[in-house]
Amino acid sequence: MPHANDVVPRSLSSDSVRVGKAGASLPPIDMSDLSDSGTAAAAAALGRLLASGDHEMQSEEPNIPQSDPAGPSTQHPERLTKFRKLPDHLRSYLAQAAVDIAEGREPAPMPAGLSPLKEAIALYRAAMQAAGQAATDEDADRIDHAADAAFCMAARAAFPLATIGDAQAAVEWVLGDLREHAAEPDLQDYERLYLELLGEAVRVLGNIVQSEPQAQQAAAVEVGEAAPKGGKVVQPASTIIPHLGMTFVEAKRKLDALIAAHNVMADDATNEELGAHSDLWQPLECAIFASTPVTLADAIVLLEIVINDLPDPLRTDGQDMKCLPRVLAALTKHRDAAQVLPVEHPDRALLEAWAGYVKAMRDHKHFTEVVMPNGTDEDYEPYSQVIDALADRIIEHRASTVEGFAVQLRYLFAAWIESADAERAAIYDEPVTEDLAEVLSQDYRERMLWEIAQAATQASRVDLLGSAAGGGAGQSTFKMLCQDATDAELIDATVGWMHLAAAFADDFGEDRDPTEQELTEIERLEDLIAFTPCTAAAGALAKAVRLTDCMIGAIPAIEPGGKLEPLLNTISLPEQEGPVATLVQQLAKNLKAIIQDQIGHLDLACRRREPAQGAVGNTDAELLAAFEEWRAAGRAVEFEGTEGAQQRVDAATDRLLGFIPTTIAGAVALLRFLFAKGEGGAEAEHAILNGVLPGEDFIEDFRDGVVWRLIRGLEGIALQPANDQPGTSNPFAGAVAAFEAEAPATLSVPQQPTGGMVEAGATAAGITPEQFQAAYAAAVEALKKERAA
Amino acid sequence: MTIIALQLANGRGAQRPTTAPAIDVSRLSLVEAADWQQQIMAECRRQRVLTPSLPTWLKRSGLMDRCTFLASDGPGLPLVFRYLGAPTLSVLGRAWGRSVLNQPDETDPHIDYAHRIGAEYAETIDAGEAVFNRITVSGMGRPFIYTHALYGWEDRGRRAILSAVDVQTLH
Repeated sequence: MPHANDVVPRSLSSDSVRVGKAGASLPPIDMSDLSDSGTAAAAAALGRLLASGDHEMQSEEPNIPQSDPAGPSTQHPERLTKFRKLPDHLRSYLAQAAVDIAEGREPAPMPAGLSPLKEAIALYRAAMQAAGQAATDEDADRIDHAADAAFCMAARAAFPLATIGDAQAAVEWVLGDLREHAAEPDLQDYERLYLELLGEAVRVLGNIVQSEPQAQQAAAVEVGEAAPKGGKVVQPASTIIPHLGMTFVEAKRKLDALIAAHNVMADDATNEELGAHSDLWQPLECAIFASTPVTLADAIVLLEIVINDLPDPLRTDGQDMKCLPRVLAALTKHRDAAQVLPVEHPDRALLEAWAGYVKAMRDHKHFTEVVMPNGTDEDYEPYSQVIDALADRIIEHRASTVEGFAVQLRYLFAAWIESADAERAAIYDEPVTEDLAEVLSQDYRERMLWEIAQAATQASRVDLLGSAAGGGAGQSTFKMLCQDATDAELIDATVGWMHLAAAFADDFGEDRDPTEQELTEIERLEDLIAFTPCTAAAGALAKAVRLTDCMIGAIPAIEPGGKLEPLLNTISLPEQEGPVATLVQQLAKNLKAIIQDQIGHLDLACRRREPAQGAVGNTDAELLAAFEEWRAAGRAVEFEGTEGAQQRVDAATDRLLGFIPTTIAGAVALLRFLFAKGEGGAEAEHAILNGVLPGEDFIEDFRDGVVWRLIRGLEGIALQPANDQPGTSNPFAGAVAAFEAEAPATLSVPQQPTGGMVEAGATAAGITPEQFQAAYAAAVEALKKERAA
Repeated sequence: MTIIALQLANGRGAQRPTTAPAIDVSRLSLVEAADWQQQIMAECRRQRVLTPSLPTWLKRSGLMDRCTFLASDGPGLPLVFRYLGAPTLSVLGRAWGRSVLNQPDETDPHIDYAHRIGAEYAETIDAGEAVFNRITVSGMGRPFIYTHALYGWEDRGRRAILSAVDVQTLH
């Protein structure tokens, strides 16, 4: 695109520039150039040049026809230095590529481990530097040309731009390179590079815009475009530039028309006339450049203008380039938005297997209990086969999400406890019976397993709800195991425990017994891990680490370098046979991988806690920590009744009573403490220690009743701010969702007949309105059953 | 705004309203409302803030399908039909219901009507008090008269409105 100073002959405006090497009128890059034997010869020469070693580089002139022996080898010393810096493997690849190109072959693909874009660019740079050594302008032009062709080949072959991310990377690179080389006088040497990269970016984006209006729309919503939710408004491909009153695309069209007119005029108009006409389109161009692109189409418009202008801004003050950061920002947003488009659930196979398993178990139960209560094993065999096959699939899958983790744990729990109650709780999600609670209270490991399974289940459900409420287009609905970062206390304890326990593990530990103090610490941490309830997947994970040790004696050890290498591979399991052992092994393997990912995060969590404790605002964090410590210690007393545990209880009680709460959560903690110490005695204390609030009928003393009501009431309120984050459910959104859930019912068939329906129905059938209502209710019930089936 | 072809309740379908309907809204006192409308308003007042316990209560008391419920997704966004009760559907038709459910109330093909009623909604939400109106509509399908008891909520820019609709005459 011409600039105002284009009305002045280029040779006047760019006298400091080597004219003819990369002028304003570069011919389009064309692969057919390769058929030109002169170019091929030049490319071959380039290949030899590239293949030559450092010393030859300085002493021997490139073997180019008609080269001048007194060539300018010392003319560009800094270029030669740069060239020598190319690593050997790269230089040899580039040399081969140049030879291939010269002989009309496709260059070989990049060796693995080289960054394609970087290599292609290096190839181009090297070629341009070689051209700088050429004796005559003609030779230089030919090498230039070969380098262009070579670069395009290499760039297209090795760096096929295909995604928004690719285009974004290309623009990012151009921008970075422009900044880096802004001061260099031979900047326009790289024009071809920029043109090629930006041109490719435009091509790719154009394809994407044309082929994916849907994705484009989703991406636009994602980057904050005002697209009404639920509305069927199609996102415009290009957004409006407010003070022009037209879209980027329209503005570009108008600009093109004006410039075309300008070019027609340019042949026989005076400079004044051309200048006057420039006043028409230059403000338009400036306005476009000053605007922030939102959609991909907007970004394309800006890039196209930059490409048209490219030879100029490099020589002028780079005004046009100032829009590149905004283009980059838009592309980055679109790239990020595109990345959250629906992805298949990583644990889909596992979740399907689990759903099938639950159904198969129900079928089996129905068959054995109702259809054929006195059958033999043979009668049940088909059901068992299905169940076993599905169980195998559950066991063998390697879970990577919280949901997957949760169902495997539920399966493990059911298989581990092997009771009907456990099966109902874990598989059918029924409440824990008293018998099962009794069983769980007897073995802290079983209780841990149940807690872990519940916490993981909870975490996965909360997440599902959250993403449903958030409703963002294309939001993924699963959570990877490592994303979760709450349950800091548990994680800290687990990391501390791993450090200590691993130090004294058999075969791998230090060559001494732990001191008394260390033993106490290990036990304290083990108690803490066992009795601190977990609320999120991270906590579940932390507990699972400890549980792995409890169940199979495997301590994930920490190497001196801090890298975690669980010893799980070397473990011999107590029961090698059976599904439980297999699943424990499978989970252990999962854990090994997960923990390795998590360990940096875990360590980080530890470190973050230090300053966090100092900077307590009015969050009652310390009070709540003291309350949790009191609960953990109290449970330890109930469980083992040691002196040390009692001392911890006393210390925590003292701390707890030193605070005045500033939040509802803090007040509730104190009220719970008060309730535990009330007239309800040991039973009340036991319930509170375990995070349970007994039912109203438990309460005999009226003061306890008041405290109980306060707890119930305040907890209801306290939950609201905690949930009050975007994306998570809140009561308001919950109410809206509850109404929405009812909507389909009325639109199909109303549950209750309307007055008109009753009247009309009763009259038509010759029955009383009551009879009709009964008949209608029966019909609705039948419909429900039909649909559920 | 796109005008969606209007499906009339008689099922004969699709006629675009050609003349502007005549809508008459008269503000009445809540004591004139039907007892169940008063009951719903009393419960909304009692609960004050909008939580899932309101729909639960409505379902339990069997009044759910006499209500229509709209809510916006955030500050500045339009109210969107979330739940359409039987009276509303009986007047405007099930097909209409399907076309406007989860759509902003402004996309209601009965533009004038939607604007007029939308003003009542806005007033109710702003006032934070129950409002009771008798509405007479003619020139939009068959003429009809109904009353609605409205209760609105606002929570950090998110708005919602419950309309307990009693259709009085359907000529």
